[in-house]
Amino acid sequence: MNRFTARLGTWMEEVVKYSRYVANGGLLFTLYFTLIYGAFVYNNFLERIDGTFPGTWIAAGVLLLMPLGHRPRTFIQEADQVFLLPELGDIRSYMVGVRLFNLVFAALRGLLVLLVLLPLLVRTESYTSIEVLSVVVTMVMLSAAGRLAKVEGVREWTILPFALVSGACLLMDWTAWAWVPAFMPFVFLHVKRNERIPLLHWLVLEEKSRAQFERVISWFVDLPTLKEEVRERRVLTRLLENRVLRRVDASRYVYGLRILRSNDSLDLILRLTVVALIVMWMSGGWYVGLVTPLFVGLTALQLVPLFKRLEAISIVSWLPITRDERIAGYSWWAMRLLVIQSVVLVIASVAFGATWDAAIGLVLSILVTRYYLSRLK
Amino acid sequence: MLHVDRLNGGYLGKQVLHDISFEVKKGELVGLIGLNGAGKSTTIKHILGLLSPLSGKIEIDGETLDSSEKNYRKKVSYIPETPILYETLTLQEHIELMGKAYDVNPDELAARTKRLAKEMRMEKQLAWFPSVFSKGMRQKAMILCALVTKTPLLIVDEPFVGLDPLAIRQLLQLFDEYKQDCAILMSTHILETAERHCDRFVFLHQGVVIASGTAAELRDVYRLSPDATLDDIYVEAIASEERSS
Repeated sequence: MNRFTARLGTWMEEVVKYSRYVANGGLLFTLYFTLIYGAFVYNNFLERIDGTFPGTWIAAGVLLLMPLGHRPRTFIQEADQVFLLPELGDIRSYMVGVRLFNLVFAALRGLLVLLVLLPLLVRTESYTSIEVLSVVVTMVMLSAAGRLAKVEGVREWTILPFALVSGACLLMDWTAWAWVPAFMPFVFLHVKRNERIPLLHWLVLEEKSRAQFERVISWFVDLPTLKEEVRERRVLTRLLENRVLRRVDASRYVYGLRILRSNDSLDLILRLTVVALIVMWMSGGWYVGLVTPLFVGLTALQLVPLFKRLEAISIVSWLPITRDERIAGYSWWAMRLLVIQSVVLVIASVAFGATWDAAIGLVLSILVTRYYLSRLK
Repeated sequence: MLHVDRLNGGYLGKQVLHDISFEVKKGELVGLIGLNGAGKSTTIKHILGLLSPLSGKIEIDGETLDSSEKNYRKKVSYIPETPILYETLTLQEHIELMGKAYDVNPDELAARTKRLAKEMRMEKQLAWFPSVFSKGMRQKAMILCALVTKTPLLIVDEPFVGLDPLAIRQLLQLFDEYKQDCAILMSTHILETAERHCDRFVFLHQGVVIASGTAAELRDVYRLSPDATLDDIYVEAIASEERSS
């Protein structure tokens, strides 16, 4: 068994193990419900639109996004910097394995996007089967090109011009030929390919990819070692410093700054709020108020493991701050943020046509928030 | 200041410490000396309240963890062997956190921070996030955070790891200054430095205190010549212990 196959095997074992945890967790139902609700809302939305809806423009926009935001896996470990060094020149099979693995993953991502996009295109455009096939191939190829670009150390924006031309083909009714510009990046990437493993680059890619995998898993299972990304947010910090941070106690101070700067908290709330607004817009007034507790619940669900992670290895373990104070400090911030999110979403739901369901949404949001925050103990 | 009395402890299902007793008085810097796995870090974790003892008593300035966890913890600050910093807080914000946690007057905290940061050549780094710190800077940041609290007891675990010679010298000067009205318990392997700066030593071996006292007292115990170094005393102490067991 070569090195790549061995590491792929280890990864699969890990995925199976975590999948079992995720499947056993009661919190999975929140996600199921969200997905089913999302599908229902999307179906309603599709029934309301016709040929005048700019489906091709959306498809062209999605094509531009396909090469971006990939987190390829390389299975390189820190110890490889020492132990793999002598073999770097002659483990071509490892590189081939990594490329194939990422190709398959990129294709799956493309297909998942197509699951959402194709019904929209079928509804708004009158494509032939060849044209549909061309859209599928284009999407998958652009996704794969973006992922492989990262693997080879090529900036992913170099794929964007090709995606732009493919998008232009859709807009100019040359849909059957859209795959041709999407194929070109592979020639470029073949020329730029690495001849030996770029160890440090692949290590960074692996760490980022692993962090993303663990972030998703951490919604369901406690992963205390998960790393977070930090953003300075100078303006927001200064704004809060005088009004809040200077006056609060140690636990509120430390958790306030962490929530403010970690990509797992404030960013998460903003991301989910935007998604909730899109879902409200698409639902066209049908029980739009119920979107609020759904997304507030999803946010709260992810804030709980964050606290457990902050607790795991931390200075506060020996500082004169008791665990009860720490829980109170974190809950103080989480409750305020979730209430603000609830209020924003309730106001938005009213703007999108909610009536009595907005009030039910608000009550349910507060109940859901209280339920999840009680899990901190 | 610190009284450890017949402490038995360790990890779940594994007793590491056996009947440990020693004390650290005000104005003293006491060296906790032992081989790898002797129980130094476990002792420190018990004193910090991170592990629960099986039996025995730990008292800091008259307080125990059971009498009031908060008051007990306010009396001790800690510099761990491996720096642990929040990636989301700048060094200045770490110091603010320490100030809030230990109830240090803000003006006093600012004055201490200014002086210590200057002495440790960390003024510029106060506004930095730990992600850009070198290994030595991280260690200095931990030291700075502990020293600004001015707690009655300071516990230091292998403080010299990752520090340059200038920083080690500076740190030892700061310790000399700190202990004037407080107490310091320092675990270290660098016996030469310990010999020059510690007032007394506690030798730990396989979870047992095998000897304690000043260098001169320990030389007498092991019948060594007056020019015997701490290194010699320690080697003799271990050899003697292994002979008798």
